[in-house]
Formats: sequence, C-alpha cells, structure tokens
Amino acid sequence: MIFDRFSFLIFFIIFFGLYWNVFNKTIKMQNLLILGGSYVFYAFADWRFLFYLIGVSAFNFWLGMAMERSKKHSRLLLWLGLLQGIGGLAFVKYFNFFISSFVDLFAVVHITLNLQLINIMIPLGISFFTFRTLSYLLDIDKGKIKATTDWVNFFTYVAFFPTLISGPIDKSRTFMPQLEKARVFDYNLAVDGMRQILWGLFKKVVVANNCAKIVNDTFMDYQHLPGSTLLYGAFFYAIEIYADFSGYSDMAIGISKLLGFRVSKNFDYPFFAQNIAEYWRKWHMSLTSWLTEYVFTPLSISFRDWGKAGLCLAIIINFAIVGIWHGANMTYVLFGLLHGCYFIPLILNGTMNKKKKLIKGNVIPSLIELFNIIRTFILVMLTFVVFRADTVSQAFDYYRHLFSSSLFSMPVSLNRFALFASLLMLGIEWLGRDGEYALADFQIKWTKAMRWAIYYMIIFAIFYYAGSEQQFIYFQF
Amino acid sequence: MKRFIKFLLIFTLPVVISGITIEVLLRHIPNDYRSKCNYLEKNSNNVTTLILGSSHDYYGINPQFFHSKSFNAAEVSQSVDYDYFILKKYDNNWKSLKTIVLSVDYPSLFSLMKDGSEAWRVKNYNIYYGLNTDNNIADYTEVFSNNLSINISRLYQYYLQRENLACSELGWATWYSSKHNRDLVSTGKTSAARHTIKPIRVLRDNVGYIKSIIDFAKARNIKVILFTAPAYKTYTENLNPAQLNVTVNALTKISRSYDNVSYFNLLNDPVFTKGDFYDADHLNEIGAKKLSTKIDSLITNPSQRQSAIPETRVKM
Repeated sequence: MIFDRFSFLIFFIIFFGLYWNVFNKTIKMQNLLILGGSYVFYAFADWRFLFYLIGVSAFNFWLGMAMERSKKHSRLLLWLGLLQGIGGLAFVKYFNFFISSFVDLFAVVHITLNLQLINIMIPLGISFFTFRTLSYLLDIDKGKIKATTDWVNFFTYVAFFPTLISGPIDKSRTFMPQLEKARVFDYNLAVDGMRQILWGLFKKVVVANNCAKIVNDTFMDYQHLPGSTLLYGAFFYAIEIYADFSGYSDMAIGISKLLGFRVSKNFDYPFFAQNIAEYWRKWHMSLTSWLTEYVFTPLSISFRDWGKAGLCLAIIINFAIVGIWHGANMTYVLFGLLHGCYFIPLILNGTMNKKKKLIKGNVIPSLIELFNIIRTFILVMLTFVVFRADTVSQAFDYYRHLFSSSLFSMPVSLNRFALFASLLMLGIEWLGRDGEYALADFQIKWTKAMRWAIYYMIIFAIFYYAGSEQQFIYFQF
Repeated sequence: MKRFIKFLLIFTLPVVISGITIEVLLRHIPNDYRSKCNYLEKNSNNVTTLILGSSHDYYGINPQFFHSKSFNAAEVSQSVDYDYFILKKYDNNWKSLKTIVLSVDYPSLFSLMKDGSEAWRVKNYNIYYGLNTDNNIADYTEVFSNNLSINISRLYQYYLQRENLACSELGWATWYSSKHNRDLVSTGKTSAARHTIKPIRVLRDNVGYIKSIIDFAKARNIKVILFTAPAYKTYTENLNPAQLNVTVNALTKISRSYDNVSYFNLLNDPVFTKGDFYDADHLNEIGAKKLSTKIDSLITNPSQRQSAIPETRVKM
C-alpha cells in the first residue's frame, strides 16, 4: 500500500473520514487512530516487521523516561539507545557488507577468511524510523526536550504513516508538540496538501516512471551504447531520482497537511543550486539537517583545533555516513566520499557557508547563475552514476564508455517524451521556486478557473502518460 | 470540513465519471481471456488435451491439428502460477482430460507475470477469468492497469476502427503470420536479453507450481507433457547458459521423478527452420502447424517419445 496505488486511496479516504468525523472528539483518540492506521499501513507493506517497529518504539520510550528520571545514569542509557539504534541498523543493513569487506581486505594479503554471510531481511523504513528514535534520545540528552510520558504520542511519532517508510525524518522536538495540540480542520491547509500531493504524483508517475525505463535500459546495456546515450542515461537518472524522491516527499507532506500536520520540507529545488554546498542544503534536507546537528557539528567542534583540515575531515566523515546510510555497498560509500571531497575547495576558499540566493521572481537567470547551476548539476549528475551502479568497477566502466569518442555521436533512440516531461517539471519548478513546492503559490497567482484547468491537465497527464509502475527508489534505504 | 468535502466532490466528479465510463467501455471490448473463460465454462468437461503456458504455446500450438478435443489456454506472458490457477478453477470439470501440455521455456522458471513489466495483464485473470489472484485493487480494474494513452487507443481501435485481435475458437493466436515475419537477428538479441533474468528469487516457487500442476494431474490420472519450445539460433545463441541449464536440469529431474510426466527439449530442434519463425522466439502459422503436429504425435503415439527428443544442446 503505497501512495501512488489505488489501495492507498481507499485506505486514506476511510482513514480521513474517521479521523475528522469520528475520532475528532479528543486528541488522544485522533492520535490512537493515527497509530493504528500507521500499523495497518506498515503491516500491508510487510507485517513481519511490525513487531520490530513496536519493539523499537517501546524500548526507546522506556529509555527516554529512564533518562529523564535518572540523571546519573542518563549517559549510560543514551549509549544503550545508540547501541540499539545504530547497532540494529548496522546489523540488519551492514553486517554482510562488513563481513565481505573484511574478507576482501584480508584476501589482498592472501589470507582467506571463512566467515559466513547471513540471510537477513531488512525492515522497511528502518533507516528512517531509527533516525527518529535517535534524535529523540539525543535531544533529551542535550536538554532540548523533556521525555514524553505519553506512549501513544511517542509511538505515533515513530510510526507516523505518511513519513514512516521514506521520510522526511522529523526531529522529535518539531513533530511531537504537534501531537499534543488540538487539531482543527483547516480548509486552506487541506487544499494546499491536495495540491502538493497532485504535484508529487505528477513527478513520480509521469516523470520518474518514464525516466526509469530509459535509465534501466541504459545501465543494463551500457557497454554496447555510445557515450552520448550514456550521458543522457546519467541525465535521466538524476531527474528520475529527484522526481521519485521529491515526488514521494511532496505526497508525504501533502498527506500530513490533510491530517493537520506540518512536517519538514525535504527538497528545496536542489537542481537550481549554485554550488555543491547549496545543493546539499536543498537535497534530502531532513537527513542532512539531522546529520549536521548530530554528526557534523559535534565533529567540527572536536576537530576545531586543526583549523580547515579539521573541517575537511568532519565533512568527509559526515558524507561517508550520508553515503553508507543509503545501503551496504561500496558505491554508496564512494558516492558520499566524492561529495565530501567536492566541499574541500569551498572550505579552503571560505565559501562553504556563503548563500548564493537566486534573485526572487526572475524568470530568466543571469549568465553567472546559469553557469553555476549547470556546473553544479553536471557534477551531481555524474556522481549519481556511482550511486546507480551495482559496483564501483561498473561505475568506472560506465565513465570509461561515457568519456569516449562516441560521446559526440547521436544518442540511440532519444526518448522525446521523457525529455519533454523532465524539462517541463524543471521549468515549472523554476517558475515556482519561491514557494514551498512548485505549485504552492498557485492560490495567489492564478484565477480559480485557470487553477482548475491546470489541475485537470495534471490529472490527465498522470493518467495518460503514466509510465510503468516502479517502486519508489528510497524504499530500499 | 463540509466545504472541503463539497470541493472534493465537485472537483473529482468529472474524473470519476470519465473513469467509470472508460472502465465500462473497455470491459465491453471482446478479448481472449473472456472468450477462453467462456469456452472453458462450457466445454472443460469435454476437453481431452489442455494446452497451458506462455506466448510460445499461444502462438505455437494450434489445437486444430490435434486428433483429440484440445484447447489452448495459454496466453502471452502467462507464468506457471497462472497455469495452475486456471487448472484449479475448473477443478471439478476436467472429466475427459487425458493430457496437459505445458511449455517451460528459458525465462519461465525465473519470472512471474505479476512482478515484471507484464504485470498489467493480471487484471485480465481477475476480471475475465474471475481468478481473484491478488489483493491489489488496481488489478481488478481496466483503467488503473494501463495508462490512459493505451486505454484510449484500445477504445479508438475497437469502437471507431472496428479492429479487434482475437484468438481462434480453440484458443490459438492467429495473427503471427508468416507474411509479416520480423527480423530474426534483432528480435533474437532483444528477446534473449529481456528473458535473461539475474535474480533467481522465484525459481523455487515456479518449480513448486509446476509440481502442483503435475500432482493435480497425477491425482486424476492425467499425463503431463512438458516441453521447451523451439526458437531460432539468433535467440538461442544469446541465452545465458547457466539460466538455460538450470531450466533444462530442473525439468529433466522433474520428468524422472514422476511417471506421468515427459519432457522434451525442442529449443534447438532442427525440424524448425527460418521460415517457421515469426520472430526469433515465436513460431508463425507454418511453424505452429509443425509444432502442433509434433506434440499431437507425442500424445497419440507414446512410443515415439524416446526418439522425438533431440539432443539437448547447451552452450557453455
């Protein structure tokens, strides 16, 4: 039961009706309904891990209260929580990766290790809900929040179904207070949510799913394709992953709005970023802000005596974690390390934190803005090849074929529709970049008749051009 | 809240009405699945030979050339689980059934229809066969199974152009004609690449379904003829030897384990020549006649079975 499936529509219509009409008498009842709905949603995806999710919630809820009660043992309890969170994540996602890397490492010096790999099933959304529980414990430890005594609120925070499987990763201090406040139906917020869902659906179904076929075909047969085709394969992958993940995030945020919640923004038009630092302030923002607060900042403080070298080290460690967060593969580690390295020139010339804001409302960017945007996009696009490849050697082989003389030949079977849909999406996002999402300012800019005409056109496009159904890319993480 | 519900109802009404209209119109278009289901509803008691399987049987076996009363229930991309579901649906009806013919080809053990790019076909089994094979609501509708461009094109072709492709009364697909044979080199490469499947997640399940079909047949004293359909060299030369070996070995092992099963590997059968193929892995009507006659002779003259098995050639 995923947002772009018909079964979710049925589930949500029933849920929405109950939420605002039957369970709206008290906050507790509404929260209980969200919790129950979230577990039903999760069980539909894979019921076997529901007990793990409940267990993790119960353990961290208890830890939070214990930390609050016993200041003396607070640190110990925090470590216990970190051990469970990071340890659980490391075991199910990375155990086999570490074992095989260890074996490979020893093989270099001709030592053969007989270590067995284990067949482990990964709970859906584990990276996302683990980061939620970790942020809760870390915030209690830092004194930013008080541990909650309301188990329903905490369990709901961990399992909130719109964001459970692929984020955004809300911090407890921004989300949990919303669970404690009475929720009154807000017409404008609900309509805004619907609009955001519509835009997310367009990005996922029309853009990402149509790009996916080209990308899959290109990466499957890259050895026999000219460099020019590999270049547009890389372009479409960058577009696909953005449309897929930001589309999902838009739907998650829109659904939350329909329930009266405001969850964290996850994307801020990253493909219009003017340098790599700005790109990472705009891409998967809930993860990067989480890591900035809990990893990068403490590390950069620890390494501050080493000056710029310390900052470089902190950023490289941070991005190695960004990479490995995505999964147990050296491609992700390399992806993270490469992005970390891209920061080094910015750190050295002191421009890492300088914000290069695009001028508001400008339809046409300045030449320098355009140059910076294209430069950053190309860097990001080429690095996504590593992310998409099955192995590091495959990624380098892809680059070898891409940067060959055939780069200047005509691409094989250029998919005009996917190109048009991608450029249309980028164009609409460019025009709507001052809003929270591309269609956010429609209410102000367009008359009702025009708005409805555009909505119907988007709905028509979703049904007419829907590409073959593809799993959301970030579900695997 | 009332204002929002009113807004939603007004806004979605044209979409819902259009959707229902298209659904009704699409369901009125005659199709193979409905006609096969209708045939089996009426005649499953009298069918002596039942042909199951994918497009290789659908285009490749014409029941007209069989001596016994035969019916072709194969369909494009029909995986072995759906073969089993069809058999089970008429559980109490197979009173005359003596033989089940099932092709198990290079991709058969490694793929399921519901998982691949052909998953949209699942709705045909739910809507027209009434099989209720999964819980996905979209698989019970026409409008949500394909995108609107495909659905509009189907409506246009049937209601305005009056064109509709349908199989013969006995379930054989008639439109892979030798007059329109496709390029065997390019189709060989692309089909082999499409059929080469990396993960082997469903191998055990699919072998399980084949065994269920065999057990079902054994309990009713029905013979099962498994075969790997003939294909042109441009296809067979591009296959992954490991995947092919797994298939051939699994089927050979199964045929040795059950006394009601025979397996024939016709993949490289020299009887089938260039002119018999519509594309590199499908027969045209000329090839279909050859294959149908061959299978029929295996049914009517069991003594021929040993000599009819060409050497299994698997390149390593």
